[in-house]
Amino acid sequence: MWLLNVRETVNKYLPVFAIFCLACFGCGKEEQGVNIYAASSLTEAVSVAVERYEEISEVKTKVVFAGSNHLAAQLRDGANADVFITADADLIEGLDFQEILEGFAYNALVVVKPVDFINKSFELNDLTQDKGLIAICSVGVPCGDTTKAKFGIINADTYEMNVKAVLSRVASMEVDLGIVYATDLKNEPKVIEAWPQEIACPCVSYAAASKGKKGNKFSDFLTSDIAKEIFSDHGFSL
Amino acid sequence: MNRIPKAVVLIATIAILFLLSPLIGLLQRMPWSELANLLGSDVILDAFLLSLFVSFSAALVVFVFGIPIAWFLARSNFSFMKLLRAVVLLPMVLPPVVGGTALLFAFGRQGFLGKWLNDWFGLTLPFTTAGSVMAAVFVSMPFFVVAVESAFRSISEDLEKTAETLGASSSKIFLKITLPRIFPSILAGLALSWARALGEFGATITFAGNMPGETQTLPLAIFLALETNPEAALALSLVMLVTSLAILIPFRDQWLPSR
Repeated sequence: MWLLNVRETVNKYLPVFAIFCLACFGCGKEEQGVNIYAASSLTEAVSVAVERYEEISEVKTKVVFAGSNHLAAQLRDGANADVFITADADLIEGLDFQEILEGFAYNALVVVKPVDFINKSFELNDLTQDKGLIAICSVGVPCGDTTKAKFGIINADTYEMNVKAVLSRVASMEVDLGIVYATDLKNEPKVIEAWPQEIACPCVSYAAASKGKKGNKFSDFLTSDIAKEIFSDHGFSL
Repeated sequence: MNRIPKAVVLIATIAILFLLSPLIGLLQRMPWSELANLLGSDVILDAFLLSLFVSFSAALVVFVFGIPIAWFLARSNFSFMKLLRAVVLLPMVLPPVVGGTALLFAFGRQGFLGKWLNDWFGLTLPFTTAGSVMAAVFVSMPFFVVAVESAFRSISEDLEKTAETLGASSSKIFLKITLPRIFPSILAGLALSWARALGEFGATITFAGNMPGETQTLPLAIFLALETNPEAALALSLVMLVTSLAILIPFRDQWLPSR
């Protein structure tokens, strides 16, 4: 029963799962293109980057987005990717990759509130008090570990399994405050900074693991000027 | 007992193997040596107790509200009946996460009912244990209603009519004649909906969120652990497996007397 339910959520967790299924169906053709597994917080930026890469190199790509831990588990269980871009470099350990590129982009955390609550004022102290409803990432997933490193103990009401779930709680006004990535703040118009904050680390640091010629080539592209521009446009620190 | 045709045995064996294989896989990967350590953690105990509380509360609510719904669906006859029946069954076909999202639209802070609850009574249902129970009730109610409704239909109304001519009140007939006759179906329905409530994940995490000790039931703890600590996830799964078997096996004898 629970296995079934796990699958149901995976479905919800990101429409991404659908993309994953498509990727599976297309397994036969994988020699042609680059298979990329990327952390869900990179969804917008890597989608753009991949599009540019296809234009420049005329190589087809297939991208699967999901939580880094989730992707790592799939890779351990036999899924095949030429490139694995993770929000936690430790997850690469034990996986079959040749090259590792660490810290090509960083993502800082920011406390956000729904844009409709523009007149409600909050401050840092509210995170440890029982003033409003707060959603954060669970410890154990990259955004949660970084949240703990940056803010310490928080009086949260729900610990979500990935940052997109936190973002949707805030965007739908079900909670007053949420801690998300700076890139989420930039991409989601329904949330705003809860109070003026400096975008500063502790950050999540992205690492790309790659194998094979086409995988390593894409990994090199991630440090090119074109890719750098895309990442910084989306709110990443470099 | 009649001799069972070979083809039936073969097909049944294949089906049973199919159902058993994941279970064997689970047990085979189980970190038996570390089990005592893993099971001793507060997270697992909290999730276990919460799961019991939520699933039994849900079963109670389902019982109290499910019998009248089932009776109504079985016995009354008006033009919107088919539609009503479909509405009651809806949670069965709806993906639970959609159910959870729909619950948010209704009872969430911005929901059309939740907004009112929040403004008037300061009551917020999401992110509370009550919210977990609501999610469990929503997904498990149809299992109970279906079982009990078909039982109501299958019994003849002769006894009730006789009692009526003898002057028994309608509530007395219902309690003393109708209900006892469908008792096995009520138990079966309860067991099914309890099991569904215990395994509930999607609607719970969407509507009630994930908070240890408050809304983090076993399935939620398992899902989180699966990504961060797979061994703990396996230990948790074992807890769920044993709990459900411990409750379902004796229950099953109640509604399907063993030969």
